[in-house]
Amino acid sequence: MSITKQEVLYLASLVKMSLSQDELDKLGTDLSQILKQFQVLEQLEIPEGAQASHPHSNRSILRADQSAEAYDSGLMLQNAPHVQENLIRVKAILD
Amino acid sequence: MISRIHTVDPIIRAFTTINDTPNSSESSAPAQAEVADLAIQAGATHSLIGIPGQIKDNICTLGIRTTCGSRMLEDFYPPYNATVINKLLHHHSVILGKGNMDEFAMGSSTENSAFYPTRNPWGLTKVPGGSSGGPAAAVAAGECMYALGSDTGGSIRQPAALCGVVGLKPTYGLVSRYGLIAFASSLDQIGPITRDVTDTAIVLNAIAGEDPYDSTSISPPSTDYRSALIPDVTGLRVGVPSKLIDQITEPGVRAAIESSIKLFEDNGALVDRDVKLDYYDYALAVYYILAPAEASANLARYDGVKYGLSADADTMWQALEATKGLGFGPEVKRRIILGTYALSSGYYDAYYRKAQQARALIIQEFSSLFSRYDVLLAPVTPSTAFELGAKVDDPVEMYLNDVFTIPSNIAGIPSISIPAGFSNNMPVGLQILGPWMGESAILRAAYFHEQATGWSTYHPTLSQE
Repeated sequence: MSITKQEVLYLASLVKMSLSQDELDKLGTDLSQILKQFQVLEQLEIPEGAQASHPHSNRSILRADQSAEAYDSGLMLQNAPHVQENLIRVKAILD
Repeated sequence: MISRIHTVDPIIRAFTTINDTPNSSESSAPAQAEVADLAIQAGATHSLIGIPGQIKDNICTLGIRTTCGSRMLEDFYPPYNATVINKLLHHHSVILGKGNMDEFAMGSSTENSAFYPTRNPWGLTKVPGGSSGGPAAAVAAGECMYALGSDTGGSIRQPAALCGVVGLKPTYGLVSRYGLIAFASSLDQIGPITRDVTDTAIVLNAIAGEDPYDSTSISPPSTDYRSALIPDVTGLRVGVPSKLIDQITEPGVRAAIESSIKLFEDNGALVDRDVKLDYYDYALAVYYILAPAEASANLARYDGVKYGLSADADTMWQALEATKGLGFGPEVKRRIILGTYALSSGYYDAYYRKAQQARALIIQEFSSLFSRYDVLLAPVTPSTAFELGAKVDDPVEMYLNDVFTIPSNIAGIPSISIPAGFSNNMPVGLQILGPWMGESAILRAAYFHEQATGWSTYHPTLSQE
């Protein structure tokens, strides 16, 4: 199992993450090596009707539907890179 | 303690932030210490009062920078405390600063920190392990009395082993993850790193418990974990998976583990050295599918809009791509791409779904084993600490460091690493695994081993001392 540079580029486009040429070259090689380690799973026979898992059994964790104290907006905005008039400024999402 | 950090940390580099800003903000360590002094004068007596600890830098601390070892969060000041921090401050513990780590907790050597690698106090050219390398090194070097780490595939136990300290990964859910910056949410768990087993019990007492802010958290049994500290293993049913012992690559590590097993045998434990782990061979692959898959979703939030690094570009999409391109380091990018691949159309069934099914089988196997054994003994790592730089360019080789620790995360069960001697003058860790919510059983076994061997009393001597 190997993964091509084109596939890496496609995956990077899915997650909206830029990669340098060096990163692209190395990722293709590294990921192919890592995928080889996964081949062991091909030998594993899953019993009929086996379920996927989680370490916890499901249980209800819903709290009462009551409003709670909100954080101060100034505190929440302190880490925002671009703030204008107590709002987060973003780039246009439509042309 | 602050003065010791300023003496020692330029060499060890276990801290990303030292919380001693003199501007007397409420969250600074000196201010917290003053509050602790007042509480003592008022008659408070909790074991953690005034006790200084270091916090891994992926646990949110109000007013104290929290970087997650990443350029992405280099200037991030959380607007709230993680639940574990509120619990520690409730007992008037003092937060000395934040512990260096592999970026987003992805790594086994702390070399993936975006800032600098941490050095192993037992050998300054060696890695401290990871991803909680800063916390483990800080405890070993006497820069704090305890630390909190996080463990997704071994990130508390492996550095604890390589630095010769005690590290506990609690049962999944026993400690709230609210305020822990998410890596792989079904595997992440916060736990203590300390110099001895008693301190681990004390810190665990403080941080365990159900939290309305973490839907996966669970109520602990109403127990004081210190009551489990009995130096006697008579009748304790101990299993040893022989397959794991055979995979140790360093003879001195194997000798130390064998010696530990014999100690249990010679002191009345019922030791079975032939435990079979049929699904163990699949654990590493399962982990390196599930953890990156979860990470690829969790790390999608770093868009440069609400917080964190924000790269400039002409359009929104370009800015998003550039932000992630600049903000994430190589290992994080590798895992995001790997996880996206495992979840993508056409590969989901072969990888993610199969890994989840294998996870169920691993959980069932451990559940069955713990009907016959109270604890399992295993190595923590195949070898002692390796040289800085030795594996940094070989991800597969680096991932193999986690081969003995990953199964506990997959199964959600508790495991502890305790000092078990030395090989080539570097510390060796013994791993004790217990059943779901079986912290008391592993603390008992750990305490017995510690009292019988005295390995926890060995501390490194730094060249400046």
